[in-house]
Amino acid sequence: MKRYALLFSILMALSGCGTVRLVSDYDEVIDKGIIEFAEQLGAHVKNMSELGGKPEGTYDATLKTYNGLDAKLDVLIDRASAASEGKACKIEAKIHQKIAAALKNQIPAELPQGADATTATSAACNARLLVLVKDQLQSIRELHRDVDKCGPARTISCLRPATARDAMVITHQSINAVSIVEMAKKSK
Amino acid sequence: MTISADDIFDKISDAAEGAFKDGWNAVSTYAPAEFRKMAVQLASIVENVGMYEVDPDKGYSPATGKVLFRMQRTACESVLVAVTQLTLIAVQKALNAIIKVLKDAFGAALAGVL
Repeated sequence: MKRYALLFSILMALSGCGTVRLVSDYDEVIDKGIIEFAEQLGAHVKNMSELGGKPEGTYDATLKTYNGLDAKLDVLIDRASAASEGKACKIEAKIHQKIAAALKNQIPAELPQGADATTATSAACNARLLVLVKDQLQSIRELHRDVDKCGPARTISCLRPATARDAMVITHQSINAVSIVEMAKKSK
Repeated sequence: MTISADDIFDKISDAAEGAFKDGWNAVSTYAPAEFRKMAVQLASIVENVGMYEVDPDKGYSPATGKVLFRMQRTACESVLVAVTQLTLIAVQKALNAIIKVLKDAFGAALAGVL
């Protein structure tokens, strides 16, 4: 008897909607936009690593390219943020606890936990993924502008080849996270 | 039409298993591959800083290594947020597959509730 009661309640719960939506819909603009961004950033960083030590390879000489890449990301972040209706990206409680332990409780404040997943919190996670890509771009800027130095006296701002290679491998992980989520939504 | 709980249970189990398996496979393939990349990358940072300390024309400085380490931490957050999203997509797929299979199999009898 209990089994039938449970079955009935499941059916009643499922009957509330035609289809269940836990994640926001696939967004072609974000999907294509992040691929374009990846291509442009990859080409820029490769050029910089080859021009290290030359006037064309300094940070000041390529400031406009960074600003263009930044602006492209801002457009995508604004789009994802608009769909989040002011909600925050929430990580499933168990995963949140594991991240907190791994980061010795220095977990970013933008990453609260919660089980109340909605399409709005999912859109906020999309925005968060894009903000993380922007953080990576800022770090590459920082490396180029302030940290890496080339030339005989090591006074010229540059991206050294080894820096450029590792920075791009890491940044691709953040870019890939955006792409793989959009691809999964597309096939859902 | 007579509907038994066992019939419905079988349909739900089959639908959920098939749909969730596809989505879960995406998570279980993606996450370990990305964690492996992180391990390789962290080893590369240590190696390049070591090379620089022997010969400043090679590898990169400890200051660069520090920024790259911070970037790796950011990438780790990206992967974990993506895993959460992929899991939700898998759950959504499974729930919708269950609803569809129930509608297809018992549509007439359950017309009132589904």
